[in-house]
Amino acid sequence: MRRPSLPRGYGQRRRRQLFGYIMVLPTFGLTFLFTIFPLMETLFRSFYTGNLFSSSHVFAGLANYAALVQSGGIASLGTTAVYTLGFVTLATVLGLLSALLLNLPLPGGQAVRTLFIIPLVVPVVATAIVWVTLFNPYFGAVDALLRFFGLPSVNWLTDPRFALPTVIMFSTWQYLGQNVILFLAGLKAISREVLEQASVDGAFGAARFFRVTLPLIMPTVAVIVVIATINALQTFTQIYVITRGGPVGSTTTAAFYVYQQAFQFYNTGTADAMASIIFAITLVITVLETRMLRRVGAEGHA
Amino acid sequence: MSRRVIGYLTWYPVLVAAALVMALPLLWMITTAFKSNGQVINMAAPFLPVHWEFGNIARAWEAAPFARFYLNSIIFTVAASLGQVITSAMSGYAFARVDFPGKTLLFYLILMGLMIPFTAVMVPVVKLVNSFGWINTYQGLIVPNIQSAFGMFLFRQYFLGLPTEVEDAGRVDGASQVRIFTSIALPLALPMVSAFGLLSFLTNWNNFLYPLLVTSSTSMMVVPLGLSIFQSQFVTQYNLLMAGALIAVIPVMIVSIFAQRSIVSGITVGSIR
Repeated sequence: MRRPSLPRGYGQRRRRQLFGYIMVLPTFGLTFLFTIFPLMETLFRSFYTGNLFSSSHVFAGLANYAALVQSGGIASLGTTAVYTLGFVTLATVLGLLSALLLNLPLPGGQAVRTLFIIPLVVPVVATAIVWVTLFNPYFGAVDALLRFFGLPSVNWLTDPRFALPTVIMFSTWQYLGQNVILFLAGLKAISREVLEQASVDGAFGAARFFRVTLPLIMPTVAVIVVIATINALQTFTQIYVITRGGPVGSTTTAAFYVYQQAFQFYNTGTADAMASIIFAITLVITVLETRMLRRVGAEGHA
Repeated sequence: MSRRVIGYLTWYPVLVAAALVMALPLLWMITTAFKSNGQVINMAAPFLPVHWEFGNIARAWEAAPFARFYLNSIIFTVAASLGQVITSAMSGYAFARVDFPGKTLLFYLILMGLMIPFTAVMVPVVKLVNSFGWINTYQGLIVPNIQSAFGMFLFRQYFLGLPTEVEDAGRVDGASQVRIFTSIALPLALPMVSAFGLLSFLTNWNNFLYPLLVTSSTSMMVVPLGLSIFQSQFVTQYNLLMAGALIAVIPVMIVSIFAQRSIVSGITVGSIR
């Protein structure tokens, strides 16, 4: 019988270390090549002139950042802020309300939960195309409903005041299921005894919700706000399909602006400047929200 | 008992209303796909098709190479997701179990990748893929996507939560490092393989921006990209547009109804930060 060999000695340790490096190599190599190195390139080239087809190295100072002002880059940050605020608020509040509803022992609840999950997993391009016809002011189902209630039709996608809200409604519908699932998991974790004790203490309905359920679900709220915010900053596909950034730039989000500058106008310098700003904002939000999460989490477990 | 009845009467209509709001866009897609275009643009026409035009689906399927889009989507999604699961399991395992110099630095460098949005790097990535001559190729679609910092993190957490006894026993029995990973640790991580694998599959299947940037020839397009080209070709053929959307939605919709439990667990796992 062979004697068991324990990993001791120099050769053994070297081999073990080599194994570690080989195991980590694919993830590290590809992350470096396709994420970390390109980020450095973006930050670096945001200070240089250039277009998509040439890689000239003429220092441009802050010219690319200055160009953001007249070419709508700063406006796109404002649009992104409005979109993010609208989407995160709607998706969080409606997500929690829907989860509370689905958490009730109502027959058919399971089937309704499926209706929340379907949009989440089907291609955004397909549902976004559906949105375009659904909100058509002449024959769309939404305006048919408005007319039924005697309300005037709305030019959802051609009126600059309504285009962004229409996209926000789309994203809320598309991604609501994710929040519903997370809230349902959070609600299931609140033990029955806590709720029963609250009822014994005379807390029912709204009072029970605000005094017992809401504080206990706050960690989930925080997680959802973080995920939704970071996703909102990246919004691209629905803008591309539903509005192409229009009308008159009213739905040009920061991510769509980067795409337009780089791949439609070939101004990669301006695109790099905006991409750098998006990175900086994401970084700040991630750091702030991680801190907030930790605090809320600590309180939730206390 | 009466409070229960009142509860039912109050909340049941709300549940039905929520169901209708969530279902309306899907019902609209399905009914419009089977209408004549004349009925679609007629404001006074009913919600359901007057005459069901089942041929619309076939017409849409032939109007664009959807079969090819599906083939491309399957090749891209299976390869990228499989790659992500494999590389993530490997690196997650190494970070959880193996000690080597520079481990902490490498771990944090990869985690940095988690904080970098794709928008911030898309221009240099396209230039890089182009410099490899990979525009309009499968390797161009797949290779940059077979890594996931998030997956690495999930697998590391998972392995850290597993007891090491079984692996230690394997080591005492003289099993090699590779064997301990492939035949002891990996089978123990099957729940994470399926949860992350599903999450990865859905993300890749629905990815639109990346294929848009690196493929321009119709024969290399995945379903979401092909559908957006289809949209720009049939702008006012609303019934065909909805038939095209239906072609892209139906398979995923059916899968999602049957794999609901896995999707729920995948999303719950995916929210861990």
